[in-house]
Order: sequence, then structure tokens, then C-alpha cells
Amino acid sequence: MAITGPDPLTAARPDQPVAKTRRLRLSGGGFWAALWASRSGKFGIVLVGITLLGALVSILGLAPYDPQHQDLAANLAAPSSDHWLGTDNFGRDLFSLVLEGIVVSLEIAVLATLIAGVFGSLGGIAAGYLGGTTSTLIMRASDILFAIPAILLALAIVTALGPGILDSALAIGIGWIPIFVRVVRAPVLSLRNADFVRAGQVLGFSRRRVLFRHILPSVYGVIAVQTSLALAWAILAEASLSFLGLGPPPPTASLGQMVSDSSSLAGIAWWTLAAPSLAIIIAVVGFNYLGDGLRDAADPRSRRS
Amino acid sequence: MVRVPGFRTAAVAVVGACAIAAFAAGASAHNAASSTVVFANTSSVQKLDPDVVTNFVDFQALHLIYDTLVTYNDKLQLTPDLATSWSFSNGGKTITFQLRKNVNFTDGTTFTSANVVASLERVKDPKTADAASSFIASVTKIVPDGTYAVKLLLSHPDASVLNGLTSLNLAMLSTKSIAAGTLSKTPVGTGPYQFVSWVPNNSFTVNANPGWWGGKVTVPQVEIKTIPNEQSIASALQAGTVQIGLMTQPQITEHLPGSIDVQKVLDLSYRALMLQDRTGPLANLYNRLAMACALNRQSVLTSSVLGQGKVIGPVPLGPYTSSPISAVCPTQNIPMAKSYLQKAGNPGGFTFTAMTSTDLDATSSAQAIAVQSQLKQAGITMNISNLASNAYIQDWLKGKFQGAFAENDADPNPYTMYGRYFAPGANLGVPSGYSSAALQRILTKSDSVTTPAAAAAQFKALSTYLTANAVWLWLFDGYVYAAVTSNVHGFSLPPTRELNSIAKATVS
Amino acid sequence: MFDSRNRALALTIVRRTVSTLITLLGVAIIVFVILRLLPGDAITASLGVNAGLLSPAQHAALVHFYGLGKPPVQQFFSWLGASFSGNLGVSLSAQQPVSTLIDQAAPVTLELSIVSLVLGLLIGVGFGMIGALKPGKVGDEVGQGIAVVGLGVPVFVLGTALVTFLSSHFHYFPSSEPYASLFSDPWLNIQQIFFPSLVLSIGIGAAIMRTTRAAVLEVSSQNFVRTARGKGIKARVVTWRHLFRNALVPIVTMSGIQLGYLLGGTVIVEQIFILPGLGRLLVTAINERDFPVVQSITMLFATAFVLVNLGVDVICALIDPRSRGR
Repeated sequence: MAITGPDPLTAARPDQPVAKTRRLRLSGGGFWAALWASRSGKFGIVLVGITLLGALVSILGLAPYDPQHQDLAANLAAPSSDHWLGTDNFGRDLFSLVLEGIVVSLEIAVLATLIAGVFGSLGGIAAGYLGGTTSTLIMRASDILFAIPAILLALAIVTALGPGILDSALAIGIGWIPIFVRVVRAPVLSLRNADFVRAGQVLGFSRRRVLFRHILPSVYGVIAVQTSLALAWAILAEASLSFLGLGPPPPTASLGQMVSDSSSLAGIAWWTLAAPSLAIIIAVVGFNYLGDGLRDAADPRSRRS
Repeated sequence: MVRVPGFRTAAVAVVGACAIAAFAAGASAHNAASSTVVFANTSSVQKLDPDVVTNFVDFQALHLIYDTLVTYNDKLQLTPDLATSWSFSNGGKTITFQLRKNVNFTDGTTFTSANVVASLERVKDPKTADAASSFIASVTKIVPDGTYAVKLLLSHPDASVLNGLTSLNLAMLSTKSIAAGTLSKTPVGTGPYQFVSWVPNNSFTVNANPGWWGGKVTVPQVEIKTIPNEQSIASALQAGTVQIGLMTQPQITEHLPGSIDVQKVLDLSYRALMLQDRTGPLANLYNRLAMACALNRQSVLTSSVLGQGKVIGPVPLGPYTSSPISAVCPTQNIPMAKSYLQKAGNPGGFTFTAMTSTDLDATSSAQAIAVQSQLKQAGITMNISNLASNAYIQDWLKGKFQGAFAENDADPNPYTMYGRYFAPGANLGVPSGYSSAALQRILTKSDSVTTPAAAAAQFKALSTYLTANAVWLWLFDGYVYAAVTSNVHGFSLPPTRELNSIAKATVS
Repeated sequence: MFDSRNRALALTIVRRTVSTLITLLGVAIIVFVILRLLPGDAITASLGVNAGLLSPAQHAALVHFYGLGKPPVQQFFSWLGASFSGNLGVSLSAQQPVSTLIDQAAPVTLELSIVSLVLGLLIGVGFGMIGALKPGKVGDEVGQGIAVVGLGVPVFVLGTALVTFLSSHFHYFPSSEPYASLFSDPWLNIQQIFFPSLVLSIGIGAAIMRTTRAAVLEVSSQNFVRTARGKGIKARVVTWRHLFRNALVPIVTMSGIQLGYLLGGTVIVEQIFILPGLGRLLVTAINERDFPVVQSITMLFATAFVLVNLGVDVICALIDPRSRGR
């Protein structure tokens, strides 16, 4: 299914003690080397790299064909040297179409992750640092959002706002806000009571200085990990929504829409299903593994493979 | 190279799963009892009250149970159904119907003029909210003339009433059902079949009506099943669990095996680019003519439905079909388009926005893309805005668009099609985007003449006016299909897409 | 009887229940608001552009019929009140009580969810344990392979591929026949439920597998395990009583979270495999602006999700006393 959620070992549930969370640090020269050294990280970087390269090729107009160009004489052609991934039933080159689809998916995924990340992190920091009623309110709102299955939430919002890139991004991003809230709140909460922070307060550092200099750097680590995981999920959610017919409308190419269209053709032309699926899988698996790799690299104690 | 854990074993797992599937496939699908014919459709029956149905499969399903006063034959000419003949009098303001005798409802009551009165009054009752009541808007009184005749009194001559009476929304109902208020739960009609069961989103089943006035029904049971996508319908046809598939996608029907007979008819709807001609650049006739000449409608047909359909003019089918050739440009003529733009005073072209809704019409986007590139060749820029179905409908009803790719109902009677848009006091005058006294005169006259020759002349004038003034841009009418397995004989899909020929079919 | 440990547990449960109720109320309000944002209403949804043909009198009759005229706040509270007494309203499009529609659709989704969860747990815990106990060996490789498929391949791709493969190559398509309930035709029912459940279970299993493997690995590195092994306790006892039991908390937690995604996944799978469950009903209802149905099903899903997680918390609290309390 790959509509996965956060790994509970890094995302504390609000009622459980935060002892199980780890502080992840992004700074330090060995970070990038550690990322590459980790098996997941290496794999993730390669796959994400392929995805970004594909997007770049499409944006720069370097794709072999104009994605929307219809060559009806060559419709439903099998993969060949002319058309690396074959053509669809309008004669459009699937390779170029898929690359365009990746660009659209990334656009929406990045927007959605930005929405979720910014609002979620702010909420998490506020909840963790300020505590008290603010924290309760934020966590309550977060729970309410989390209780509605994310796909249903996205479905309802996109139907309300209409299909479109910004609307899809909003619908998808909203479902991930609670996860950012929880994941960011955990280290903030544990650090707030840490000795060195107390020491700073005693010494008279302003709240802002404590927040920015001492607490935030630890938070960047979890944010980075969750961002990668959120990107994976957003690409998947966008594809699922467009599979249900709620994605950005034609002529915008959309990987999920391509899979949905292929369901009537895949029996006779397997490449119409394989091409967009491959693109989705590479991107999702890539960002998932990148997230794992970031977690491994940022946590010097981790020994996971 | 990075060694990725588990990939080769993932491949082994997939192969293993296939093996299991192959084993399971040994337990093949059950076959329906040979006395039932199963139709499959992607949408499902939504309502059982014939007066308020709007979904096309509802019409097809309920037409197996209900009859109307008049109906269409295979050439889309009016022909008797429950009315055996009719005549106009009083300057066209009275229509007298002679009714069929010895027709019984499945609840035991007999069909008489009382049923006609009750059924049509129910249609006109605002509480029923029958959108097709506009077909008989000109009917002021329904008067029985003995047991087997009825008179309709009209406020003005209106020949289109006859066409309206072919609609299932004006079906003949049992007075007992109307009084009991059970129409939305238990259909009771005079047709070849009687209602058995309805499972929403799943299936609709009917049994043969032994007392049918049309004779013996040879297929004892008919089921209309909902299968949400056409590839699955194709699979079911091949597996033998469905006998007749009602389909719309040529890329699937083309790939069905030869043993399955694929029948095709033109859909009862047409695609057009509707224009708001009252303001903006589109208010200028020459700009619209430029667009009409820049279009390559055959190419639009090819890009959106793989050529499976016909380029059409304002009247797509029936006895008064308009010649599709535009009065102005039979085929794409860019130089002519540019000269029209000159005459319009904007030789550099102009810009406007057209809305589509892939929710309502999956091909609307492909049509828009094709039209966009054709107009560009003449220097006209068309922006495309795709909306969700309800947003499109709201904007459409309010006329809040410059162009709209629409799929409108087609009818053999052009007045039925266009009276609602362009006649005086038209219900859909706002979305129509155009009005003129000349057009109103043509329409009114076309509806009041009573001889076929006079009607043909008027409708031709209507067609010519609409194309010569490029009121809208008419595009095409697509095909719809019925895929019939080889063991069903004698079923044919008529232009009205009714399923009733199954009543006299045989299954081997 | 009510010693302090039990009292703390009871208080936790009470507190969680209250907060659950507040959460559900919040969900109801959000769903209600979103639905009111949908452009158009049941009238345009059912009549389309022909809604323009209605006369004002007809339009007024329909507004009254669908109950669209009342102010939103009043609609919300009357719906809420009626729901508590079991009356979930009447479906605008099917003209049947919503509770009837839900009664017909719920068993399908329930069976699908249970079978998927069970299969997912079997795959997830099974391969997760194998992977943790013998990392790097064949069992681990297989497990990791399944995890890659489960995490990376979307449900709809897997489902579409499976359906296409079975129907076009084997002409095997159990879903083309009407859905058979478990009691009316068990063999057909199993065939119809097995494949969609398989598709869902791979995704669930992948997440549970990673959690299990990581948790067990973490536990196995702790001192008490080395002590147990050193003491000569049998391997099987060490595995299950010590490793597994101590890794249970994250496994159970993850399973609870997966249920939320499972409920969303049924929406897609029911479309592909043509199952007349709650997911399909929901998608259809959203398209038809059938507010009573959408509200009721969303509340049902949210309630199920929240209750399951409440149960998960209780179970975790029972298993591991350290995780009790805030």
C-alpha cells in the first residue's frame, strides 16, 4: 500500500513518554559521508537523483518528444528504439509523458510538504516549548486532523476546492500536518527540560536565544527526515487522488491519471501501466530510503543497515 | 553498484503469486442461468420513479417496464406506442390521441384515458420536480374523450409536444401507484418486463410480463449489472458472466474477440463549443466566423474519440439532420479565418477562455486541446479552464463563461433541442449566450407547422441560421456500443439506445 | 482492589475516553464544514445542466424535499441529535435510510479490513522476526523484498496490475459476479475478498515488518537478553517471551496507525475490485453531494480509527507499565 505513516520509533505519541526519541543532529562534517555510507542513504540518493534528473530533462525541454504530440499512426506501440517506453492510445510518447508527470508530481509534493512542514513544525515547536493550554489546543487540533483518514480528507478537500495544483497540494499537505507536529514536539519537549537549557535560562538568556541557539538545531534533524518521508507520501497521495479522478486535470500529465487510463488498456499494452508505475515507484522508494538514510546519518548511534 | 537487499527475492515472490493465481483460476467463474440475459454498464440505476430519472441507464432500465404514448422507430420517426394514432385540430392547438385497447398494468388495472390524465398531471405538478415537464409546458389541459381517447389542449401550436411524449419522464403510470405513492419504490408499468429487485450500485433485475400487449416475451429474465470500468466489462463478456456490454470506449471494443458482435449507434448527445455571444470579442460575428473557419472538426473527432463518431451540424440525427458542412467553411481554412479577423477589426487575433469538465465528459479536455492548437494557427488564443462537475454546472447555468465545451442532449426534433435555448422565454436563455428576433421567429414557426415538408423547410432554415451566425461551434457526435456475445440472437441497439428488443430475442 | 496502580490505569482510560469524544466532535464539525464548501448541491449533482430547466416552483419543491433550506447550524445539530438515536438520515440520491446503506456496505469493508490486517500481521511480524533473528540470510532478503514492494508500489498500481493480469490472461474475474457474502457463497466470497486483501496486506505488512525488525533488533541488543541467553534459556523461549514481548509496544502501535491507512486504502481497492463496501459508497456519495451518507461514513471511519487507537493505548498500557500515564 505504501500509504505508510511515521515510524513510531521516531514519532512519539502524545501520551507516551518521550524517552524513546533520539536527538538527531544534522551538522558536522561527517554528515554527508555518513549519508552516503548508509546503505539506505546511498540507494535513496541514487533513486531521488534519477527522479530529479528526469524532472530536469522535462523542464528544460530535452525530452525526446513533445509529451502532448499525438502520432495516431503509432498509437499503442510497444517499447522500441523510437519510443523507449512505448506510446499510449493517442500516440503520445510515454517516456516524455512520464517525465512531465514527474514534474507535476514533484510540484505538488513539494508544495504539500512545504505546507505540512511549515505549519506542522511551527505547531510542534509551539506545543513543545510553550506547553500548557497552547500545547493542549495544538495537540487536540492535531488529533482531530489525524483521526480522519488522510485519503478521505484529501478527497473531500479536493472535491470542495476543485482540481488544480495548489488545491491538491493543500488537500494532501493538511493530512501530514499532525505528523510533523508530533515529530517536532518530541525533541523540543525533551530538550526544554534538559540541563543545558535550564542553565541558559538561569544565566538569563532570552527565550528566543534559547529557542534558536539550543533547541532548534536538534529539531532540524527530525524535520529533514520527516520531509523526505512526507515527500514520498505526497507523491503517492497525489497519484492516488488522480487515480480516483481528482488530480490536476488534463492536459497536465499526471502519473496517477495515466495508471487509471491504462486499466482499460493494460491487457493489450502492458507498457501503458508499467511506464507511469515505474516512475511513481522510483520516486516513492527513493524518498523513503533517503529518509531512512538521513535518520541513520543524523544519529551517530544508529546501527541499522 | 549498490546491492539492494531483497530484489531478486521480490521477483521470486511475484512469480510465486502468479502461480497461485493460475491455480485459483482453475476454479472458473460461474455462468448465469441461460434464461437470464445480463447487461453490463459502468453507471448504475439511481432512481425508480420514471418521472424524475436523469441518468441514462435509468432510462434504459425503466423503459423495459414502462411505455409512453408515442415512441421512435429505427429511423427516429414518431411511431405509435400506447397511442395508436393522433391528429391536430383547432389550428394546431388541440391534439387528440386514440389509445390502445387491452393494455394492462402489472397490478391488474387497465390502461385508459384516466391514466393519461393522471400521468401527465403528475408530470406538471411542481412537487414532482420533473425537469422534462418543460416538454409539455404549452399543455394547458388534459381532457379525456371517452375511455380510449384523450385531448391535449395547448396554449399555442406546439408540434414538439409529440416528441416530448416519447420521453420516459412522461411515461404512462398506474393510477393505483400514483395514489399509493409507491412509484419510487415499486415500478408498475405496461411494458414487456416487470420489476423484481434493485440493489443500488449493483444490479437491477426484471422478469417477463406474461400479460404484455406486445405478445410473448422470449427472454424470461433480464439483469442490468454495474461494473465500474469497461475493461472489466470486456473481461466479463469473455468469461461469459455478462451477455451484453453497454460501452463507450472504442479502444476496448476494438480489442474484443471476433465472437463478440459489436453494434454501434450515434449517441443521443452532441458535443459543441457553446459561446457567450453577448459581450466581449465573441459578440463580434466576424470573430466567431473566424473561429468556425479555423476549426478542423474531423481532427477534433480523431483526437478525442479516435475518430469513432461523426462531425455534425446543429441537428445531429433524425429526419431533419443538418448537413454538417458549415455554410461558411466546409473544412479548415486558415486564410479565410484570418480575413474574417481583419473584417472584425482585430487582425492579430483575440483571446478568450473556454471551460471544460472532465468529470462530466472525459473527452472534453482532448477536444479543447485540439481546438486550442487549431485556433492558434489563425492567431486566436483560447485558454482552457477545467472545472469539477458541480463548479462547471454552476457557472454554466449562470452563463459565467466565454466558451464552454458542452455535451448536450440531441433529439430528432430540433425544436426540442433549441427551443429551450433560443425561443422566447427560454428556460436556458442565459447559458445560451445568444438571442435574436429572427432566430425566435424561425423557432416559433418551426414548432407550429404540422406537415413534414413545412417542418423540414423550417428546420433547414434553423440549421442554416445557427451555422451562418456561428452562434456556437458544433463539433461531433460520438458512437456508443453494445457488445453482444454470440449466444444472444435478435438483439439490436436502436438509435434511441433502448434495450427493448431483448424482449423478442433468443438465447442459445 | 482499587490500589494505586489500577486507579492510575482507570484514570488514564477515563481521560482518554473523554478526549476521544472531543476529538470525534471536532471531526464531525470539520467534515460538516468541508461538505458545505462543496460547490453545488444534491439538485445540481443529480440533474446536471438540466437543473436549469426547473421552474422556480419545482426548484423550491426539491429544496424542501432535500432539506437544503434550513440554516447550516440547525442542520448540524439536528443531524447530530438524530445520529445518537440511531437515525442517520436518508440518502439524498438513493432515497433509502443511510443506516440501511451502511448496514449493507459495512460487512464487506469489515471483512476486507480484517482479512487484510490479519494477512498484514502475518507477513509483517513473520518476516520481521525472521529478519531480526537471522539478519542477512534468505528469510531476511525475502522480507526486505516484500517491504520494498509494499512501501514503493502504490495500492492502485498493484491492484490494477493484478486485476489486469488475472482477467486478461486467465479470464479469471470473480468480481464480475455480484458480491457474495460469506454466508451465502463462501467459496466465491473468499475469491472475491482474497485478492484485494492481498494487495492491501502487502503495504500494511511492509510497515509492520520494518517496525518489528527494528524493534526486535533493538531489544536483542539489550543486556537482559544476553543474560537470558547466557543462562542457557532455550532459544524459542528467548525469542517469544523476551524479545517479542518487549518489542510488542511499537508493533501494536504501528498496527493501530496502519488501520487508519487501511481505511483509506479500502476506498481505492473497492473501486478496482468492485466491492460494494463503505469506500465505494463514500466516493459515490461525495460525487453526488449526498451529505448524510458522507457525514455518516466519515464519522464511522474516524470513530473506528480513534477507538482502535484507544484500544491500542490500553493494550500497550497493560503490556508495558512504563508507558502508562502522560
